[in-house]
Amino acid sequence: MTMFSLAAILVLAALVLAVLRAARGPTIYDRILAGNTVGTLAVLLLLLGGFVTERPEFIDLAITYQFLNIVGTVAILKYFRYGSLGHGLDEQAPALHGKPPADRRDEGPA
Amino acid sequence: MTDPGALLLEILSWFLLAGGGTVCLIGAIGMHRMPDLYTRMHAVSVIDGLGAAMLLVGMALQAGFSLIALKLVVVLALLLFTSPIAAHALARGALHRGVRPKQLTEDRATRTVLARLVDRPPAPHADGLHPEEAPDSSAGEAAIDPAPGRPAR
Repeated sequence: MTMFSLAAILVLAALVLAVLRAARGPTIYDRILAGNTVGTLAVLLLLLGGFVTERPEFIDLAITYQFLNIVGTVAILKYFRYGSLGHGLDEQAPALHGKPPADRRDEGPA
Repeated sequence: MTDPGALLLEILSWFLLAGGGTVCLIGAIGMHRMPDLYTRMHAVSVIDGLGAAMLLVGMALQAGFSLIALKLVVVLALLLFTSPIAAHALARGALHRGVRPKQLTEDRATRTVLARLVDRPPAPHADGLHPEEAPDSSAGEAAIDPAPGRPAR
């Protein structure tokens, strides 16, 4: 069992560092990146914790958490596509290639 | 532990688990030592790729042929599918919103690439979320993607 404990301690240290980066990351993209990393490391930590305590139900929890990470990834994609999360899907998306977000183009030349 | 096959499995999973944990820690240290967003993403991809894969394979070796190993493989597959998508979206979004790489050698090639990718000057704000309006550079705009106008309402 000690090898799972060793790996869990290492992953926990990495998790602490990722949370620190999320707290002090200068841009919002750094925070999103750190959030993704926290999700990945949390899945790994759940699995290792399940192996340490010999309770295999933790694997199902980890799979669930992984699906939540996928939802987070979709949220990131939507954020970068629409510029915010409160955008309806039926609205016209701003073009991806360097155009400003849609609400800033309203007064501009058509 | 007299069976040599079992001993080999044990040694291999020891190596994979300890190595995977170490790789995760190295990636997290890289998140703090790297200078800007893109190099930090480079450090984090180590965690998503190598570290998670080593840990999951090590755990699957310990679990043997069972449902647990199958679930571990499912987790690994989900991770390997989604993390490149997220990384791609993040880098693309940051570049389009004007976050420039630091320590960029500004020669002609990088200027051309940046003019194609980012047709606006670097963001004056730190977070790059609300960059100033800028006229499009004419170089790469028409070649890449002529932007469709918003629908008239």
